[in-house]
Amino acid sequence: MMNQEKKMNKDIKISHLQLRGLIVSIVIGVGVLNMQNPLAEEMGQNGWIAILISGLLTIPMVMLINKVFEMYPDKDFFEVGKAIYGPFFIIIKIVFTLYLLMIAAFVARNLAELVKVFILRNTPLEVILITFILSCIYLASYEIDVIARAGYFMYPIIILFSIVIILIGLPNADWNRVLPLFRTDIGSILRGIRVCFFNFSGIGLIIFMLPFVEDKKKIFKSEVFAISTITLIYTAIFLAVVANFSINQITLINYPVFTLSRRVDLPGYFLENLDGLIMALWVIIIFGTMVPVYYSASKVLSNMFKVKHHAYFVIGLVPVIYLVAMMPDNFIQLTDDMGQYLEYLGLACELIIPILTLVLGVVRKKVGI
Amino acid sequence: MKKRLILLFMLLNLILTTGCWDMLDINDRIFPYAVGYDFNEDGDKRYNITFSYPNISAMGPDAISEDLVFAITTRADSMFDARHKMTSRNRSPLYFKHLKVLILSEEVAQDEVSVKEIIDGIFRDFVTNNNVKILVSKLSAEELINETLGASRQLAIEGTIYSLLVNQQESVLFHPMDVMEFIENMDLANASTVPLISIDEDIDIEGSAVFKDYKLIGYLQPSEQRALNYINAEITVDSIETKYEDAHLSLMLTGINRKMRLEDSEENLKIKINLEAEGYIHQFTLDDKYKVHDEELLKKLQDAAAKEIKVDIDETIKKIQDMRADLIHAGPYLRMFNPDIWDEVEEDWDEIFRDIDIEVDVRVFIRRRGIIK
Repeated sequence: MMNQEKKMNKDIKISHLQLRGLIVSIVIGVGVLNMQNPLAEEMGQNGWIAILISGLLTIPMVMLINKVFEMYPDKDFFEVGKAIYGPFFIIIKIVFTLYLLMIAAFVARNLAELVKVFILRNTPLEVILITFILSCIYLASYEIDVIARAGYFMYPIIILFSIVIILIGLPNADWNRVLPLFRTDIGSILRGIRVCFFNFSGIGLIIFMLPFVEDKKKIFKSEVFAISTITLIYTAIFLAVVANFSINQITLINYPVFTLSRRVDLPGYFLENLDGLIMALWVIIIFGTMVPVYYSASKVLSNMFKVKHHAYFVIGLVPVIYLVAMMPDNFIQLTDDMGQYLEYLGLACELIIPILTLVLGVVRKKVGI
Repeated sequence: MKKRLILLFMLLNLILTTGCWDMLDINDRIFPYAVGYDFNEDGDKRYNITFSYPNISAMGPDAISEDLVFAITTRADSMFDARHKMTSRNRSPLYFKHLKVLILSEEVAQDEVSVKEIIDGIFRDFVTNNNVKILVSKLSAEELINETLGASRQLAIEGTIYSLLVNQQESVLFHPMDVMEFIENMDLANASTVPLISIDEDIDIEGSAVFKDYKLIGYLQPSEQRALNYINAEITVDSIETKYEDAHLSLMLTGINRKMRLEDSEENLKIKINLEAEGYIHQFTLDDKYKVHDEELLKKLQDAAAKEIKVDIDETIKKIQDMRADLIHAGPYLRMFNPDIWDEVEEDWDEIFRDIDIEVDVRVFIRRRGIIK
């Protein structure tokens, strides 16, 4: 069975362009619409500094992960974990499953809430939620190379989304609002980074892709390219929002980007209230986040229960994601409580576990066990 | 065969899943374009709320109705309360996505609590258009909207008031204000203008009401509002009428540029505003004495026009300083460009604003003289 699986895995290949697209489409998700709000609350007009710093901080994070895979060439995440942790690997798998399920539920619930209030006012939330989860099944039950192709396909849509937002922001923009520069203290920069870090989470999912990338030497370059794209998009959108609203308004508005799109008012009724367009593009972006997360969750579970194909778990997880997504009673529980858990789990899965793995791996190599 | 089935299924999807997104056709909705708030004197509901909306049956080639616009008034505690009450009187629901104009009567505008509520409702609602333009009326909003129906220029489908407000002719006598910009001004400078609407045989929007802390505190005359538009460089086209010696000069200004600067001064904050306007001569005189072909005469003409503008501006600045309404955004300027000084004055900016020195320097450049000398 081992051989068979190995052989199957060997056929899977991800190109570098696909890797870039996939990273961008995973990381950019719910946050692109509302991260400006908490960021402005912490840092005012200087929030972009935190975005840039977080972007830079993400690079050592991916370097850690690269290092681990360099130490164990030709092995995938599960084999590496088994080699390093031995029987304790199950704990890490459980933490990962929790984290991935929670992201999936969080993303799906956010999407359902927004679709309900902005588009489908009479449709029950439950129906929107279950439809969205079901529509992700098809793609999530394929292997990572198919998902990577889809991610590459979504890449230009994300770029288009950002360009549309920036264009919308241009006519009324007052760029002086970015001033005064750098009037902020270390404390608020740290809090700002915490907000941004949450919006860069998802980058850790590269552990499921790296073993399949074609030319291993160029991986780091592609990752840096993807991270710069994400940082650039976040910064540009943040600046577009700051140039159009006062700081007090941004801290009031839940989804500044939506409000920005509703500000469009070109003469002659040609374009007005563009929230429909933004919404449509955003649903695709969320799909691009949801599918890889969903895939990874079922992959971990299938490995845990030693099931050959993860597609069984993709279907089995539908009610689980649905139930977790329906847990928060209101928007405060959704954004604050659930966001908090996600933050801690994200920190564990994307920073602490890679560091631990690398340290243990190095120790094992040195000692020779 | 299988492929064809899949193709058929996909095509069917296209046909079956498109349509109106919430099963309500556009002619089954009422799109109010203006809403007016008055206080309700008797009874338990707080406001008299008036909507005006276009009559869809009067549009198109097969119009069956004469009245282009209807107005309807109800007593309610908020715009949304009013909508629910309307359901028993109207055949279709009101839909606020294309609301364009909000009219506050003077009494409502003077009440801080009411203004905050009304603005919050428009800002908060998922559907309501955030670009609603605000107006203040000395007449009650209900009367005003009903008068508008009879106005001779009631032709525009989107509403007479709105078509005046979008300001295609670039009137300088008022400055249109939408809800988002209003909130922005309140956040930045704690003060904002809102255009004033009145009916005197015809609808007229000119001058403005000055709001401070979401409360109406005074009015600006049309000429003062025009001066304010000059200071804030918010005009695109305006004509200046002035006298040079014994001839009349008519100038067309086509652009204005403002630079604000904090002057170094020991005892008092001094803000210097440099305005540079440019334009061309519309009308002068055919008198040989005044042939515009030497630089010297041109300079004199420019100075005469600049002086004309500056008189109004100085008066207006004095008036808004007395009102303690920072309508020229001197505070936000300090916050952005001199943050250290702003930190010192932020606390009592209202008081300090009244006493600072504001010096306006106007320069007019005549770039063209028309097709004759």
